[in-house]
Amino acid sequence: MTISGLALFKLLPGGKKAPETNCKECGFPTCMAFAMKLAKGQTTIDKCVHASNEVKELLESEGGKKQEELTFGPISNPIKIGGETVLYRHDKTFINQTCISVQVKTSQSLEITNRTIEKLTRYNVERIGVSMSMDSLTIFNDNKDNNLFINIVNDLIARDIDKKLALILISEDKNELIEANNLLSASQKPLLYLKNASKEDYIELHNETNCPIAIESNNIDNLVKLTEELEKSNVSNIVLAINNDKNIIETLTLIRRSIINHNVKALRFPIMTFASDYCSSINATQEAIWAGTLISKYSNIVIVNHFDPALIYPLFTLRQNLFTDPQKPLQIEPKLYPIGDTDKDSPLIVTTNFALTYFSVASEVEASNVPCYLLITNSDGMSVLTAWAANKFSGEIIAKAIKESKIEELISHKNLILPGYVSMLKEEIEEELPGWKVHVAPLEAVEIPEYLKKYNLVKNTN
Amino acid sequence: MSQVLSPSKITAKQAIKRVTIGTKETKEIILGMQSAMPFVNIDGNIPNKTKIAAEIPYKVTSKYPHLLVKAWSDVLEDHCKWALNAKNIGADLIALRLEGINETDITIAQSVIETAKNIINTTKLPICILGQNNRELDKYYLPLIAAGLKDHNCLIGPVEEETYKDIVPSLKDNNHCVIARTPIDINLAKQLNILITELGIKPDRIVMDPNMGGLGYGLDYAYSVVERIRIAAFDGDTMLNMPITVFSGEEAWRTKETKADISDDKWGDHTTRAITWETLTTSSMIMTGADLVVMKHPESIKQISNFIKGIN
Repeated sequence: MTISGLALFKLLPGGKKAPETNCKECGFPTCMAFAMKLAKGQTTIDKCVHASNEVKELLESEGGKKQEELTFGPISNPIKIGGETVLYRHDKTFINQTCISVQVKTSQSLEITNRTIEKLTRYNVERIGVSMSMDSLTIFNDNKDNNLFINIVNDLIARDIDKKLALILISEDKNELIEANNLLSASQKPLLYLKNASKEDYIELHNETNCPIAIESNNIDNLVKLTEELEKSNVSNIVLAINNDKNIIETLTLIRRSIINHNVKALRFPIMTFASDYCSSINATQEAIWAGTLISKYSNIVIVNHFDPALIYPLFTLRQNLFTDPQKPLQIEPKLYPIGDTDKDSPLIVTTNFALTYFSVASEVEASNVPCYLLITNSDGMSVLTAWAANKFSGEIIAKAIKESKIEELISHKNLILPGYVSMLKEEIEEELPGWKVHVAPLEAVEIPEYLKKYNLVKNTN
Repeated sequence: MSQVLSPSKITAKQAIKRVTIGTKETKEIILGMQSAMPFVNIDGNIPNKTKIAAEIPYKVTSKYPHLLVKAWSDVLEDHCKWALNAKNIGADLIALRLEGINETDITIAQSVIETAKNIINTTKLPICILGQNNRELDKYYLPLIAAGLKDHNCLIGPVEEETYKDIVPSLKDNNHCVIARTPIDINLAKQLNILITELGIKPDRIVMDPNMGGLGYGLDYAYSVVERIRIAAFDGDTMLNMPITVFSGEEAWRTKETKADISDDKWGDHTTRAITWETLTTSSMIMTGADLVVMKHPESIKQISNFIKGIN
């Protein structure tokens, strides 16, 4: 949102010094507090029973300044794209993860196509507790072989893949897309991309199928005219396909700015790009770099030609990083994490569940090559020092976490390594846990490997 | 330019400062000077593309990832050959990392200085001297090495709030540029720049290091901090409009995904995954505006070099 909390406050009873000032009916102590939450999008104006039409209209016009959200794919498990409201993730958050779609072409051998589809359908990987699978499959009829295209679709249906992956169908033949959609009508709403089409073709395709359609044009100004005309014909379920743009990052950035800063309605649709437009088709790593770039810079669907877990897993990780909500401290599940090949003599380290704290410590422990148990306590996602100050990381909490983790059944010693910043907790913990010895680690995670190397000596002489 | 898009142009109040590394005798590398977000050419000028530094350890220790040992196996024993190979695949600078040094010893400092001079003479590339992320050792070695490499206009660091007072005076006296590291925080970054300039070093000799995390290990924090620093710089903050460097190689090669010798259906082939991990860690920071990326694997350097050449 581009309206500040202060600007909103001026339009609320508090800012107008009205009798209803700070009535608390919205659930906040003051109009100012309410205005600040409104500006951050953390509450809604309908909570204020005294709100003027002026402030409501302002928020409504502001609320319209966002990208259209679009749903497609399996009816039982559709995916959402678009709906973005900011230019930078720190402005608020990105919303719907970029759809990464692997493309197969009818010009490829059917054997390769089938193998790719088989592998990507089965693909699943877990990262920080989140299970990630492929979202989408693109089928491109690039040699105008009608039978092969329809055969692939039929084969997907026979294997129930149409119920798992969101399909993007690309062809120059309108009737073929209509036929494919008819075959799929029971299971899903594919995204249809008719190449080299006229406005009339798009309208007909949309009216025949009622599916979202991807449209293209040779430049952005013509694309804007096209979307305006399509909307006049009640076609608004649109994806903008941007092909082979020599300044693609500039174009995508300016489109996003046009929506967010200038409310250009005709560009408010999700965007689809092809990573292989920007690199040699045989260089899979280069395609992954471009896919990552297009994820970073505003593409809602990115089409890739290579399916390889060694490329997809890093891309999934990048997407996960960029689409986490920066307003919510990223937390990890409080529990015991064994790192490396732990055994009964492995050191035990305790820290808080702020994700960055966890990752810093975990990666240093990994780097040290000393297998350790990492006990993560629940601190509501606060870092060590903040959690200590808020009484969320105390002797009592740590002692309780040790008991609940049943670590005592896994290790044969009673030594605990404590983050350097909270060395003051040492005695408190030893009081709560009779028989345990607490060792204070260095201040910075980066010093952990060195510390762990000498740890056995420290432990024995303490 | 598109009529619909051109109103979305944003004009910066100032450009990023120009930082020059190296000398006329070698090759001068210029960082910064742009007045636009990455690749948004309509906003202003982007005269210098992102530069790549190849990171070479002073000593290859047992901790050096085995895929890197394998990739550089022909040159492990010879810093100069290593640096030349790196130059040939697209490195703009050589970053010599003080690695595998455990004690303070003047003869080691002298040996590092000799090595650095040999690399400069052989490659004719500017050089960057990196500490060990060990404050006591860095405070000892970096000033000595800076003095030994007087007037070579190297990029030296990182220095932090805890170490800058001990290191920066020598960098200033011997005419080098400094890497100023702060922990992923825009305010601390600005504060350290102010503190460093108060010691007499010019603002156009500072390169900021936001202390990034690798892909999957906190990359998102640095991603956003660098974007915020850039926005503040273009909005006129004269203590934040310095070029930015990121140690994407170092961070990528600390992760399990690059180090673990796992090749399976979920993570894919180890070598391909590790290279992709380093390239995506790097390329995503290039999209935020990083001016200098410090990388490790030759294939990753090649890929990023091609990416930078190809992108407009």
